[in-house]
Amino acid sequence: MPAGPTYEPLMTHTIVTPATSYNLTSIPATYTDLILIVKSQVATVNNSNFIRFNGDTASNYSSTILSGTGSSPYTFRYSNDSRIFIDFYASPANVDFGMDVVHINGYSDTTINKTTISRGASPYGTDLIVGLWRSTAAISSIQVIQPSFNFNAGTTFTLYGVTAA
Amino acid sequence: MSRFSPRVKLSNSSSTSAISSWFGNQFVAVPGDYYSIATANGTGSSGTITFSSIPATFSHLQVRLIANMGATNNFNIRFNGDTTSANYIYHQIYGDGTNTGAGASVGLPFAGYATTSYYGISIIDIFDYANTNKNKTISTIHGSDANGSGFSLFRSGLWLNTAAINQIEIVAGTNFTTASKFALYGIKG
Repeated sequence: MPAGPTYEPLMTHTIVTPATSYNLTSIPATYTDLILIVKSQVATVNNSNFIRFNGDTASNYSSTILSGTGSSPYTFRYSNDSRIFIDFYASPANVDFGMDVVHINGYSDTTINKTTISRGASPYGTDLIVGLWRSTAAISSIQVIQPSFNFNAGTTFTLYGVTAA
Repeated sequence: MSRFSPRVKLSNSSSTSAISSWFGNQFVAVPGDYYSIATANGTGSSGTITFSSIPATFSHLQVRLIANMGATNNFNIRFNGDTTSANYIYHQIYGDGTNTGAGASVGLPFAGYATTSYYGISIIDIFDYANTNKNKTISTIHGSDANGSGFSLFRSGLWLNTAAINQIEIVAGTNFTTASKFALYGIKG
């Protein structure tokens, strides 16, 4: 017997002034997975968005990237990094928006390091990126970062919690 | 299950944001239409995870997993106990940080990959799984990263059978660890 509706919107926010990052804090540990959706726009194209967890700015992250621009597929790896990519060539645009959907399965499991899988889509490309945070801590906060340029007003951050039976 | 209504604080705001009526067509899935059907954990002594007696009352299914095995290995998905490789077809594109690749073949659709130390994460969508007029199509996104190795992969799959899917198995060549988690969801619509 199905357990009932299990896809819960936790929060959403649309910024009204430009900013280089946004933090989602006090994330409850009561779900199975998190899904973060970032709809972003920046002043200049092709500047990737990133995430960090629990305020960790150390080199505890890595990303493996598959990206397509319409001409060729590309792949990149970033190891011992200070953040996880959530898009690459499919980065935010300056007129149209880029969309990133980030799945974080087992975010509150304190026996495993944290793995993410992100799909990025924008007028400039399409991405699939796996990320690793080498920490077994439950994720209680997510910082979404645009390090090169501000997120434009109208950029939206939405977080969902998914609960297994 | 009662609805949990947490308040998550955004650091740039002076107040917390609750679930609000703002939500409309910006949902990825409409709350209330996404149901948890079953969960399973690895046992450490089996390389097979089985979801059986799947009701035919949803439109689509989604499997969400994070898994690890005692050895670096792939794991695949199969339906209704059909172990015949010729009944499955797949296409894929992947990147491992150094090389990209693409391919197509006959065989069981890929469900994921894991190393001994790091986990693989997969989201597997099975569309129109109960429609007896169609062969079954699936779409998988998967990634595994071990800080110096790993890959990201898209794979599509086809099960050449019009039967409604009532059983899903995730099958690996080695045992899933006890920290491996698998969940099956039904999507209405």
